[in-house]
Amino acid sequence: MRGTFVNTLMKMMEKDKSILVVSADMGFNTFEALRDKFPERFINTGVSEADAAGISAGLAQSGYTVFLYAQASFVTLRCFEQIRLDIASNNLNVKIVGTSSGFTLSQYGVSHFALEDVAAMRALPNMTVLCPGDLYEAGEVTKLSCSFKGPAYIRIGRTNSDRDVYIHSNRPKLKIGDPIVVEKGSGPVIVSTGSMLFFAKELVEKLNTKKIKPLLVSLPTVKPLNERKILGLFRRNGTIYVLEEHTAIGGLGSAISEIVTDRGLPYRVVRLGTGDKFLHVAGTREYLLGLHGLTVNKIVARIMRDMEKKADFRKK
Amino acid sequence: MITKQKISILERKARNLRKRIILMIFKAKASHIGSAYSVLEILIYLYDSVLRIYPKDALNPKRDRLVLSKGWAASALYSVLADKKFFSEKELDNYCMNGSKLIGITTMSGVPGVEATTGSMGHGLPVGNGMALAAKKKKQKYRVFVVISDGELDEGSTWEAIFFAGHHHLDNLVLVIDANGWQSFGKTKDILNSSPLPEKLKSFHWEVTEAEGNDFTSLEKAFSKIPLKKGRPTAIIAHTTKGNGVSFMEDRNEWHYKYPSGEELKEALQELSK
Repeated sequence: MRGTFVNTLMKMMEKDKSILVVSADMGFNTFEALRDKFPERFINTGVSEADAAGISAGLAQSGYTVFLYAQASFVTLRCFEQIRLDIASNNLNVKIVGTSSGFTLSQYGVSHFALEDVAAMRALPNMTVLCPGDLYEAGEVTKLSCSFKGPAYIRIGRTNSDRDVYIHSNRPKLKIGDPIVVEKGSGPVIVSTGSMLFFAKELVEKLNTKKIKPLLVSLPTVKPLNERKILGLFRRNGTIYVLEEHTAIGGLGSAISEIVTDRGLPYRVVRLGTGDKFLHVAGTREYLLGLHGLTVNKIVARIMRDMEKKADFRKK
Repeated sequence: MITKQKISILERKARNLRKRIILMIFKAKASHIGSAYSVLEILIYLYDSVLRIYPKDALNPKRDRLVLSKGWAASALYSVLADKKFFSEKELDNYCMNGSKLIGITTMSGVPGVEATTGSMGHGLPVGNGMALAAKKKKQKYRVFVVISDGELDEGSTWEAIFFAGHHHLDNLVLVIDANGWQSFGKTKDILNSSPLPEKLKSFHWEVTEAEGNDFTSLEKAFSKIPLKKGRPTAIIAHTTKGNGVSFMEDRNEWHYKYPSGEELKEALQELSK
């Protein structure tokens, strides 16, 4: 997804001279071409996220649109207060790009896992939070981030561990806050955001073999949400499973639960994110997700159990 | 050289603004009068003799930017901005009142002349870096002045920014350290001693000079040669007295927190009217 992001950004920079890139010394094997093509518009602040966020604010106040780039765990949490005060509170055009989100750097441990970044960014007024799920979405989201005034957080992960792929069959038409229907179905609803889309497709395929046809929705926006369009996809007394490579506290699952409970709607929302614990082990991304119960088999079993319970309840 | 006449005009202004500030603080039952009195001469001198400003066109792109990183001295900045007619002097009566944009710590709430949201320590210099870098990129002539406190030298983000400005030759950036020797819970030299500060800054490729920060003659000398050297950012270590100008407040940290009683207000106004 990183490559798609950079290629899209370079095309945007050709047209829009106001775009600058500020990197806190990240970009190996990513930003070389951009740096060489726009040497005056690529600023490497060194490994100093707080300064980089403050500099981005100062540049944006001076009329630039700034893409502030580093790894997701650092560019959001280490300089959270600078983002809150210098950028978000002044509604500045700083588009924060966090790469290697979730368990992308699965061998590196807690320091490099980014599982709380969305919750932190979502809590900030003015902040738009965008989590692309495949290469199409990554490109579209990058473009969309410049279609409005104010800050955004773009969360870049991996579509799967081996390689980044296109998951949508065609380039989807994206709008901030809108859901994208990936697979039509009359069973339970599965909402996936960001890097869980590949996983969600596998999940649906597996459910199909059990004669369950879920509705699969990709939601590359976490904030703000088009509540009307999203709720329009849910069915009375239905169950909505929300998949995200992020703690279940404060991410998209929380956001949808909040909409449903605030409105008192008759849906059940199941948050399928990572659990409330730190993992002090290494492994593959799939292995670590599995330790949080996020495997296709476990979730298929869970959905089937939920459906049986519901059927039993109806019989009674 | 600054003339004696000019000095006496500025000193009279400082006394009058001190009166204005204590009335604002008294009415609002607000904190930070010691910080405001510490930095007041620096702000008066900058707005009077150094900064290119457009009070009726506060966002003119050619203006010099002043970032008051020690935003809790807001009352001093507001009094100077009103004196310079950025907004009406009457507006100062609303300081910290319900719904007022004159917030106790400088915030980009729409007050003409306030350039940054500050007061969380260590934010001003990174933002100033961005503004100074933007001027270089756009080949604009404006300069950026960032006023920080001693305590802000404890913050890592301040040193990240010092590192960056030196490396990037931001000679349009001037850092003024309002060095009154105090921070939140005690004397800077006891809590986290920044000495030797000039050597530290020089080793980051800054040019450094020192001044008596409550003395207009000394401030004039320090500001007359900026940038001290082409290609390098300038730091002015301005030695000040916290609570300067009112003898019972001078060099006393409690005036970071408390507001004057009616008796104290009277006593202070008497002293400032001498």
